[in-house]
Amino acid sequence: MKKGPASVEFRGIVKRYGSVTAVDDVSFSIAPGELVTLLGPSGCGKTTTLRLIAGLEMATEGTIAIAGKDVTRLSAADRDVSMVFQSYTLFPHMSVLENVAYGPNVQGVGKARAREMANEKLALVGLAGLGDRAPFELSGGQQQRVAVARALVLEPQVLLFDEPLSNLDAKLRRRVREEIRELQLSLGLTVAYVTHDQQEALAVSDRIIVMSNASIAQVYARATGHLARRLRSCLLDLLSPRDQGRSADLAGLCPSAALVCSATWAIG
Amino acid sequence: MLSFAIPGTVVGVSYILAFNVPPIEITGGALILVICFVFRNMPVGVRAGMAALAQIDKSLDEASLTLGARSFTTISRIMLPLVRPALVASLVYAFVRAMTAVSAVIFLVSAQYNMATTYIIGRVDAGEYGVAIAYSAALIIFTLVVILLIEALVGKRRLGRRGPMTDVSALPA
Repeated sequence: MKKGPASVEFRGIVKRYGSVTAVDDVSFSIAPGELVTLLGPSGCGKTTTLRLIAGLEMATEGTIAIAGKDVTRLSAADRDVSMVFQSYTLFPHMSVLENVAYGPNVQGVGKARAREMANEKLALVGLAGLGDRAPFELSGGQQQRVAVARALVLEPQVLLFDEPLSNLDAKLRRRVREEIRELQLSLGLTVAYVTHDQQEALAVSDRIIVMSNASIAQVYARATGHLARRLRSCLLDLLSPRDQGRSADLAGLCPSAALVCSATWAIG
Repeated sequence: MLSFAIPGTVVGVSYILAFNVPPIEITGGALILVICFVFRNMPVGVRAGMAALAQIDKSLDEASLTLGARSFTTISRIMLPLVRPALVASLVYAFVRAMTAVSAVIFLVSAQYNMATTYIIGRVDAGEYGVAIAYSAALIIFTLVVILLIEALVGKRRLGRRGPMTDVSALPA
């Protein structure tokens, strides 16, 4: 059952609905354990891109690979991907526990084991003991956390969020996005996250892909990623007494590097 | 909805005209009664089902799909339970309509395969009111029992608003 997070590869994906092109030649990749946000105005194709990863839409052209395996033609049920929807989409006729246990249940895991897995994930999102409630007896924030637990329960290789916070108020939004980020970091999940809120994107992501008019406009990486690692190693070089010549060289190349390095080092 | 616009007697006569000759010669049998009722009452069930399905968020079955459930599992475990109220209403409606219909079947019944309603009319015509009343009473009780059975088997209403039995103290603050 243990598979761990996987990478996602988009190569030249095009999605057309009749004459409308929703996604136009988009290529990007998500590294294992990375949280990538698709940011952009409504109608820019970000949700379609997410649904293409999930397998809820089929690409017109191009290939999608998850964990190096081509999944372009696989249905949503056959991809090891879970999704958290904007409107929670908890099954209204099931209890909270049954909702979370649904995934393992339909996968043919035993009933007792499914309940156990569900309880475990409910505890993870801080809702232990609420399993017997009906979804409509929970607040919006709680419902969204149930949705996260339900998506996590099968320990998918990739987790997708489609504007998960847009139905919550501003204060709750901040809290839940922090919880999502903490969960992502502690479980090392590969996450694709769609939002139109820049602040939200800046708060949770490792990398931000800005989309407009069905294609990628810009990609931003968070300083704590690759760049910070480079800066940190440069700082280490500067501090190392063994290789004076090289450190001096580096310092010469980038006079303010030491300052920047010390700042990131302190934060990191 | 067209089959509602056609009077029952016309439907009955049409069935006889259509099915009295080969290749499909089924007049006078039980099958033609069943077929007649199925097609006459189908629009209600279809409409009710469509209305109920339209109410269900599309993402619900997408959520089910991403959790690894195939289409069949999704239909049986998510869609059917959610359209159940419509299903019950259609079942009860179709059953009651079939049990009480006279006009559509009055030309379709035979001595071997009769309907309670047409039989009762026959008894009234013959002046045997006692038998007619007894049959009517039996018909009412039988229909009632079946409706209650349908309710008990598929009519459990488990979704929707907070029921009156919900313990208020168990609700979130």
